Amino acid sequence: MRLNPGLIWTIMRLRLKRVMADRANLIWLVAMPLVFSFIMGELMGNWSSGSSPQFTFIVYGAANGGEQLAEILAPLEDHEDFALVVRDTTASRASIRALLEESRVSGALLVGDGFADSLAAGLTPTVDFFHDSERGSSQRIRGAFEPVFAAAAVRISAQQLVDPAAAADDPGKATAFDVARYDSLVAAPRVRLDAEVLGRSREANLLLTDSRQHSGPSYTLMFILMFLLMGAKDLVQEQKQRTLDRLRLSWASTGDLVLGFFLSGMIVGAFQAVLLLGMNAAIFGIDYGPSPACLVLVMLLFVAVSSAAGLLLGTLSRSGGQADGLGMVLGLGLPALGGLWWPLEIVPPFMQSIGRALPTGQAITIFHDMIGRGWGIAESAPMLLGLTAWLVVLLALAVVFFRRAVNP
Amino acid sequence: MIEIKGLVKKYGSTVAVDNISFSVERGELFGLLGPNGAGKTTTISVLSTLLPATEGAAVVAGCDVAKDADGVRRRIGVVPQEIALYEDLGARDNLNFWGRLYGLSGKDLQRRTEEMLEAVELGEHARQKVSSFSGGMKRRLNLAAGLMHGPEVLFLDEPTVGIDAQARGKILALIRRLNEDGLTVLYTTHYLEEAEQLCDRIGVIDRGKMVALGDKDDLIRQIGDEDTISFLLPPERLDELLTLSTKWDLVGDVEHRRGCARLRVRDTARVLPEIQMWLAGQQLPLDHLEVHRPNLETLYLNLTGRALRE
Repeated sequence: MRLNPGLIWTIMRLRLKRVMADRANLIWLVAMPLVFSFIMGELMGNWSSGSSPQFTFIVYGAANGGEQLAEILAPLEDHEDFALVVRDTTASRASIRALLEESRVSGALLVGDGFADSLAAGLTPTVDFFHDSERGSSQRIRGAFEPVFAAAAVRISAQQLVDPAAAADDPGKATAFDVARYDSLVAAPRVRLDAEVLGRSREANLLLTDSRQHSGPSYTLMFILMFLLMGAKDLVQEQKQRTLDRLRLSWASTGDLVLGFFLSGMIVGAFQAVLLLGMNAAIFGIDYGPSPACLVLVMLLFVAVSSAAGLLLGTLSRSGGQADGLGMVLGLGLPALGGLWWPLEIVPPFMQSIGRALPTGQAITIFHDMIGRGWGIAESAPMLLGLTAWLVVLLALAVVFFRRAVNP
Repeated sequence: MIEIKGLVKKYGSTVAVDNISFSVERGELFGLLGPNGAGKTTTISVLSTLLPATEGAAVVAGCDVAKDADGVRRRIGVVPQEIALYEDLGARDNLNFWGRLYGLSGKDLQRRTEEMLEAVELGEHARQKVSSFSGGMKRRLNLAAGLMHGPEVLFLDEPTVGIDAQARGKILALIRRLNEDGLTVLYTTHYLEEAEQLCDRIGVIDRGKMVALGDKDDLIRQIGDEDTISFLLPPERLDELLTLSTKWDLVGDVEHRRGCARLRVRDTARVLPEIQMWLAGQQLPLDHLEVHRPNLETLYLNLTGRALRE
């Protein structure tokens, strides 16, 4: 198939210009999705438990830690992002791992037997820190804990610079700074942190704490789909008004026309996605998780699926009214079935299965996993492949029917 | 420039174009005349490569429409009957877009766009949205869009439908000017007066068949030089008229329909005063007395038995 990028760009630019020329489109592109995100977010309420912090950072074996551990943990009490839960009892590494993988806690610290005694004896005890590298909540705990721990470790080490004999004679008297000793302490700190990075479990419970973590992405997806499906009537109009014939008579090949229409839909959808996701983050504070690559990929795939669906609908519809009607049915039905109006987690299992087979269900599931589980591309691969399959099928059908429409 | 032989286009069992053949010379303005549904648009669609022919062959500007669609498309301009423009954009934006799709860019595009806007007298309305244009302005812009790339052959499919006489006059004048500049034009219409005014040669198409083809004046001559005289006549006076008419060398019989008598006469100058005198003697009104010279309407009526606008 002969393709001319210049002509494809010309067609794309025209369609973008037409979208922007109609100010009423701004209602569908931006205003409606934001209003729905807000209203539905308010209706569904806050999903976290009361006013308590959202995530749990648990410390096991606190009884072994003595004053030094209390000193380390003090700055983390009453943290705004997570609740610090301190247990005197100890726990096995396996049970701590399980807690993290099931999303029951977002970070854990294990203080081994004899921590305080070892420190007093001049040895170098270790504490074990467990976190999940791909979960936003876990990384927030890590971001808060590591600097606090590093400062404490330096403080504990610095105490060794004090000459014990001089301190006994006169505790307030400064001692000479022993550079060699300081260097040896830095090289071998008195307290060591071992971090264990955990993998994720597919069975892990979803941890969405705010309904806007659902309504933000879901109404973004829904209005992208609706807008691109509504664009189907433009193609019908092109056929009726015979601008499509004029396009066919130009130097643009059928491939140029298909790609021009498809990619212009993608650009409009991508513009809408960036705007809405950005505004949701800025206004409602939605954190889309630790994997920007996954976020970009899922949006690109969903926008492409929506654009291909709009193109297919446009080639199959015989009138603007038919395109509008079918577009509205699909634009409302697919989001409802796919869990954009309400989370799939609350519908019966068989409806969940149907929902996750649809592109809307696949996209919102990926969003939930990114936000609530901290998943990335690898963990979301099955759903991403599902979206890719939808794209291939819809685009192939759109190309076939478009060719038929323009080459009778 | 255009050569068609035995062209047939069928939609299932419906024959839209039935074995038509004609040719158009370079620089000629050829009219394809026929009522709605006669097959004019289908013929243009086949010639412009939008539709494949069922049978027959057609060559446009040296390119076979079946084998070299790209070649044909690069050499032709098409102005469809519909306003094939983006009405939510301005006139200049529309022309820029269509120019780009025909490979124009940069200063060439800019120059050609301004030329075309001036040619169709829309320079002052270049930024205005097409949706706010009158019917005539839209038609003119529609024509300009088909000319952006400087085609060798222009297909015009009823380009004056639905506009007032003044706007039509502007479009016809522009087409004549383009033709005088050397552009080959195939013009379809169901307006006889347009075909008479504009075209050198005419093909009359009816129900997919070419029923007459040739020089406009020759075609009219084929149906004879006889004028038709018509006037109001009560039925009870018809016998009297028939007796009188035996000395007038009529062509065919006297027709009498809906209270109106029609006679085809060879020597109008002699017969007309006699009819006037007779009517006056009979105290019948003279104000509906009409003389019709043979024209394309007569030709079409003669060929198909129907008036063109039926």
